[in-house]
Amino acid sequence: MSEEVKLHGVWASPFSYRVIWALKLKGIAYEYVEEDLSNKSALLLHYNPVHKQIPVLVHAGKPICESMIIIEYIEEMWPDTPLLPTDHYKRAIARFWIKFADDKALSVLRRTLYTTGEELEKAIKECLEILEIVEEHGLEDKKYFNGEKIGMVDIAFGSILYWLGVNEEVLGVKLLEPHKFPRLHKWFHSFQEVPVIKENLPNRDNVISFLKGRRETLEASST
Amino acid sequence: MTAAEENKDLYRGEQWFIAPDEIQSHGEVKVIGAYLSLFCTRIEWALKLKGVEYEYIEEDLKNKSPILINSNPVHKKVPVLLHHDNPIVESLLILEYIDEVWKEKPLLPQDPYQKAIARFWAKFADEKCVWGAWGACQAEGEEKEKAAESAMESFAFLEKQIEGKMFFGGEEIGYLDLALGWIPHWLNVMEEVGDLKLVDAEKFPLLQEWTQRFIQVPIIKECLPAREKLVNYFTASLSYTLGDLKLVDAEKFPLLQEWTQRFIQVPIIKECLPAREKLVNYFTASLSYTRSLKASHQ
Repeated sequence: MSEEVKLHGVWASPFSYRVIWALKLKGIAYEYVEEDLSNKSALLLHYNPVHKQIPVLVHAGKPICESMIIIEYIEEMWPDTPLLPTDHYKRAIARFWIKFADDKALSVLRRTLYTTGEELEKAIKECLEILEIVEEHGLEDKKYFNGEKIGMVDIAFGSILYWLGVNEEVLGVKLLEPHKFPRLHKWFHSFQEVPVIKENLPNRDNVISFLKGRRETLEASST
Repeated sequence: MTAAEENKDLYRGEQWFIAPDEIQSHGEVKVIGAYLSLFCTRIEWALKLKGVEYEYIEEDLKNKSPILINSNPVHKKVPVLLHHDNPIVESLLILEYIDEVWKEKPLLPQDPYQKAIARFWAKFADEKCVWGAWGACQAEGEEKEKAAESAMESFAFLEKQIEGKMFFGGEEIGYLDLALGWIPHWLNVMEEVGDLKLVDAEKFPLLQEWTQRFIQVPIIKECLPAREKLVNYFTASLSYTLGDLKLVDAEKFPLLQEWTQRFIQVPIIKECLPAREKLVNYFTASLSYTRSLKASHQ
């Protein structure tokens, strides 16, 4: 594919990283455009009038929005290094977990990031329940969700768990404990060791400061 | 002339039915569904459009079967597609699976970019339009106005998408039409029960025209649940939400709950009970009367 690929993202966003990982795993050259969400560019609003959000992938001038929809597109356009199984049934299972990650895991992550007091306690409890579901049903005894190599489901959960991990430090609460979630814990460790992932993570201290700053503002406004 | 050639739909002059000699077989297919569920009808539409034979299993959602719980242990919801006894869940994902396995009459666009666009709008509609509409139906007063406005903003995006097209899938119905197929029938009932109009011919003429075209397609029409039953279901749901409480449940009062089950099975007791449907309608009406009285006194 010789047409230009651009990715509009934000450095602190798990969604941006999902797309970056997919592009890098497939060795696709792209230009990265950092967006300022507090002052959204006219271009971003033009590309994503519905949600006004990142990431947006622009390929040959055509915008695609929603991180996992973007990755499905990337998967079809650049089939080398497949991120989904070829078997139809296994693909349906993979897509199920991707949807679960976005519908359930992501929403609970958001609540652990952006709530305080009783709401936060509730969110933490729910988070553990979600992790339990994935531990019990999602991974089975595979090295990665996608089998021997990482794929879309790993990317979907990996982004969430990385941010959850950073938030654990901010909150001073351990959620993904190895004795409670042995499979998930082992998987997450392996996931972060994959070279493309390891080399493409945001600066952890920066994310901590960013999240701490947000939490301070949140707590100040709720007192 | 083959049976297929004979079965031509007069409306579009194109073949909508798949004749028996064209029925594709890729192993046993079952659908676990609920008659009134808009998410389940999508699946039946897709299978029928592709001429796939299937066995339909009606699920009682108040008394979930072991087959449902085993097939969908995470969510315990319908629809479930069972193919060679392998369960596939989540209605939009089931559509994708069906499209991949049975390649005749493709539902999703072939072009990857158009496919991404179709997926985007189906996701958007399921997240914003379905629940936005139902939320607006359930809400009251100022909240209802706000919710309706927000829902209509979402529908406005769909209006733009149908511009210049017969169907969201182009000349023929496709994945996105099936995903939005709840609008002509289910939304219509929601609006009646919730006492508001979200998609009308004035605000969204193109969307309205699409609903008329879509609902006339024979395969679509034949799978629609009876309107009356939908009205009753949404009315009951609304009143449950409005009443919004469970006083005697199996968890809090197991012995009492067990007694209710025993009592209601006694023949003489059972035969004197008024029709549940009529009771629901009565309480719904009473509730809204009381609330309107309250509102007029504020």
